[in-house]
Amino acid sequence: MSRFLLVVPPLAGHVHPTVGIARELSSRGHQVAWTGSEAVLRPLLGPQATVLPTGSRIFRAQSGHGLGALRTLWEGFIVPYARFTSKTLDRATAEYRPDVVVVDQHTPAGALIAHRHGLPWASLAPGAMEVGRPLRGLPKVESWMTDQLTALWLRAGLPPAEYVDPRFSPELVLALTAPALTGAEPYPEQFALVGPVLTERPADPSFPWERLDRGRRRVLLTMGTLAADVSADFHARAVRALALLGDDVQALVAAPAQSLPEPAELPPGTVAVERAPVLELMSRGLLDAVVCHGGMNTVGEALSHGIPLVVAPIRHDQPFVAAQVEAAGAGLRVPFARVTPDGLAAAVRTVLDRPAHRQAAAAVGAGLRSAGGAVAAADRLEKLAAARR
Amino acid sequence: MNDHTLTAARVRPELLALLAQAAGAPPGWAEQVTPESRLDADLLLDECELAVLAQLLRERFGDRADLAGLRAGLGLDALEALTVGDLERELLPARAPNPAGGPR
Repeated sequence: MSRFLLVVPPLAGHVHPTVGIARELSSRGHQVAWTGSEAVLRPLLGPQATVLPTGSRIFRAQSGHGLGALRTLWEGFIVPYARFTSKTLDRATAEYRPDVVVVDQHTPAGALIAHRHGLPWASLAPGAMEVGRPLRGLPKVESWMTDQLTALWLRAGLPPAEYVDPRFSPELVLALTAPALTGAEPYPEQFALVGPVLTERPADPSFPWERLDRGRRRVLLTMGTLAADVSADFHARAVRALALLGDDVQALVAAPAQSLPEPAELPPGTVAVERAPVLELMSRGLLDAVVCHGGMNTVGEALSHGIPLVVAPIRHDQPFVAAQVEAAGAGLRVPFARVTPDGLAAAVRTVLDRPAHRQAAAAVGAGLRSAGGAVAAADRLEKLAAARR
Repeated sequence: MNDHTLTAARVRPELLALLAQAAGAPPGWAEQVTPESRLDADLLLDECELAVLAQLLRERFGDRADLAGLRAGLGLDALEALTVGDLERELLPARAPNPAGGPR
């Protein structure tokens, strides 16, 4: 039996996959604890989970688009959050005495603490941003990120000569994607592309299953949990697009009510909820297409169920994920900021009507599933723990 | 003629056309583009769209129109500040009569 400490940011999309990995580790007799903001983690993990709290503070993890969003992510979240959690993470690690620390790439402090305690650590890459170096064409931006990580390393009092990039464990990087989506790009030996970890997210308990119309094809619109600052305008266009799809398509919309038009303005029969039981809808074969922002969780889940996508990427790794989906033939990419209702409706109609997209989604999905998900992740983590015994 | 059309006339039409193509933009989008428009914060072009634009520029204006090379030399501040006018100055051939309209 080994003890695993999962260091996660207070971001639902990063926490959900760890639930599946933790379940798999627990089923093999290991102990698992999370450390992070208990105010965020507890509702996502439930009352039974072991959470070592680091305290909570409001950080703006995401805002805006493009390079401005990248700056906000680093200067407004990754660096200050690492500083804020540094001491409490150190204490949590000392108290829990893990055999392996699993560190989300957005929480570099976890890697610094593991290094200080001489513990093996694995990186967890829930998104695509830090997997294939998509910003390699902007070397000064890459250096800007590295400079901030180096400063964190030195601030933690660690020897400069021992510096390793805290986003990339030299022993194991668990990436929740697979070559079926990334292409045949070569990765370093310690990279394990295990595919998506399919973990059901908390759903709206009042989801109106009875309102699903079996006689119509169904399209789910979901733009993630963090994009409220920019997604209201997109939702307005998307709702008009859904209305253009006609009577044979039923729209399911998962979004905060305040980011949607008045219910009376939604297309007839639309089911609009705050949170949809996405995995259950997919696994029961109730979705024919998904319109999303290109978050890795939604994309991995949809493709794993052979459902084609229309991706309107907002920021961070999403444009790269959208490009991967389109290159694989499993869906279409539309410009989030500019797509018109007509353009979006045409894209949705295309993925609904052309069998090639569904066939490609099924093929990519088979590739993602074969990467092993939580089982493969747990295998690699067990090996890492065993290697240090 | 409205104000948008007046300002848009200041950007070379062939550059506007490539911007609209790379952006997957609907008709009329280019009317809002001015020399002062920032590629990032104003036009909201992401890295994949900028890669398409770089390819289109090279195809249209030749290897000297190297947007990827230009951006590779810039830090985050300069990348955020990069405008359509910068592209015109740095990458496009000087304005001159070119009836053939092809690469020079």
